[in-house]
Amino acid sequence: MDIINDIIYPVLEEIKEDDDAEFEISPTLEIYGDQSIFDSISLVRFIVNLQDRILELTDKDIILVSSDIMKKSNSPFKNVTILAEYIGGLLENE
Amino acid sequence: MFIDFLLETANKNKDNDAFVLNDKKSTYAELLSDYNKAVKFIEDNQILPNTTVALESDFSSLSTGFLFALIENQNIIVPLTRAVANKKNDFLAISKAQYLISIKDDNTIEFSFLDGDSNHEIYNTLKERKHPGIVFFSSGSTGESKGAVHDFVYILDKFKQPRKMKRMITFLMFDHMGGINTLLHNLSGGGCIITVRDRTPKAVLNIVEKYKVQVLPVSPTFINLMLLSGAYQQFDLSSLETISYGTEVMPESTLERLNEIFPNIRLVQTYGLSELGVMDTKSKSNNSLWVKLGGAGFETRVRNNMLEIKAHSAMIGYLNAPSPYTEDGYFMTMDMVEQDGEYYKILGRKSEIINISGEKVYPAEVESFFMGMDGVEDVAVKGESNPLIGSMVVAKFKINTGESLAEFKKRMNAYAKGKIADFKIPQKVRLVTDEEIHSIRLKKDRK
Repeated sequence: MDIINDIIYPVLEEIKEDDDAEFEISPTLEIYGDQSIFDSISLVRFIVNLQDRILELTDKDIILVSSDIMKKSNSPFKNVTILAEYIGGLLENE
Repeated sequence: MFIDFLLETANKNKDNDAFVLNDKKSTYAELLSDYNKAVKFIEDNQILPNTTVALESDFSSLSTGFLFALIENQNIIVPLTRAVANKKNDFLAISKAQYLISIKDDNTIEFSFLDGDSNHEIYNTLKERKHPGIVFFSSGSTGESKGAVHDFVYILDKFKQPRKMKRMITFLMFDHMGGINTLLHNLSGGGCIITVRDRTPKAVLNIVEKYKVQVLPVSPTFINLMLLSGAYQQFDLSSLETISYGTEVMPESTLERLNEIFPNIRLVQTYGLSELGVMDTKSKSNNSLWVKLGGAGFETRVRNNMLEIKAHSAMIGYLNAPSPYTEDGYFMTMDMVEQDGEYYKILGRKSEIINISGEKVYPAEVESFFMGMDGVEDVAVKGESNPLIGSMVVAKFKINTGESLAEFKKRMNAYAKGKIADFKIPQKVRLVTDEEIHSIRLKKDRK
């Protein structure tokens, strides 16, 4: 399974369509960093949809954002590639 | 008579900035001139004392001039902003407003007569006291709005002690007790109020740098997003002295991280309710959620683990709801607290209300909205804690269309977009069977 193509892109496309948002989906797309494509509520919806998609495809119920995330100095939501690495790491540890 | 102290401060600070609104500065001299304009407008249009006047505007020098002039003319003011445009007619009807003054962005003024007659039992108290009033609307248990009537003189009393001159951002507007509190706090001390339309961390911090903001009031959600985005690393925030936070429960991990990044900034918890006013608070320390509440004009106590407050600035009552006071005059906040001597730790509401970034969501309102959607046989809504936004809305649906979760979510979003506020659209959705939904309901009823 390819995390970017099978998990992240479909979820981004879904939200893009629902919200009539304008952003170009690519591995360098910034999700929540210097540029942000979401407001706080859309970000939460994006995260929940990612978790749903991961559960559907892998049967693994992972939590992408816990309170520990605020302690990290590098955000896993910086861009699509970094997010894919983060999800990969969580899936390996499951 | 009522606002002498504010005019006096303005006179002493004529050349200083009173506002920076959407990147445009204005001074105290302009505020005084706008006040005089408003006084003349009220005279010309023969707006009588004790009548109810709706004032529709965002913060501006002119709208503040009108606010002051209406206070001085002893009116009952119903502040309205664009954010509540869809509820405007309800608010006007509930408040029996007689006049509407709308101030546009380009400072044009529209004046209209309404059907209201300014008559309400609650207003009689103001008329007897010969005091001006203000009505704040807050959402009620099924989503209908409750109008809280305040005696404006009691709100003003707190600000007669001169405050320090600061430059402060506000996210709240006229129609919110917190917005009025910030306005009076600043204008009574000769400070400057700065508003921002774009509330993303980057835009807000850019304004902090540009206008050397000293006080930044934020929600825990904003802080989470600021930390997550790393936006704080890109700006010079050395002017910041105080970050205040409130409206939702602060996660301890967020507070710790914030204190680590900004060890020299004072972190202050605020506590206020539209029925009571904003209280002075003192946090035990920068990284502590324990807080001393009160100050002059406030008495607090805890009954059944719930905070009760008696306040000089408390509202007279609701226009359209029963009194929330105990027999001895304490307001039941419904906030659960822990107590340690003089300090309290606010744990959140004892109710089903879902608090998303400080916005309230009532499950019953969301449930009733989605019961109108095709194919929905039943729906149960509740809150689930979320480390980014405090809580999120979770909805469990029983449907009869045979759609997959993804198909249903898509249709649900399309159905709700534009009809209810975005934050009320469930962020997490589950499809369940008949038995499951009955068991959720049973648990809710037992609470």
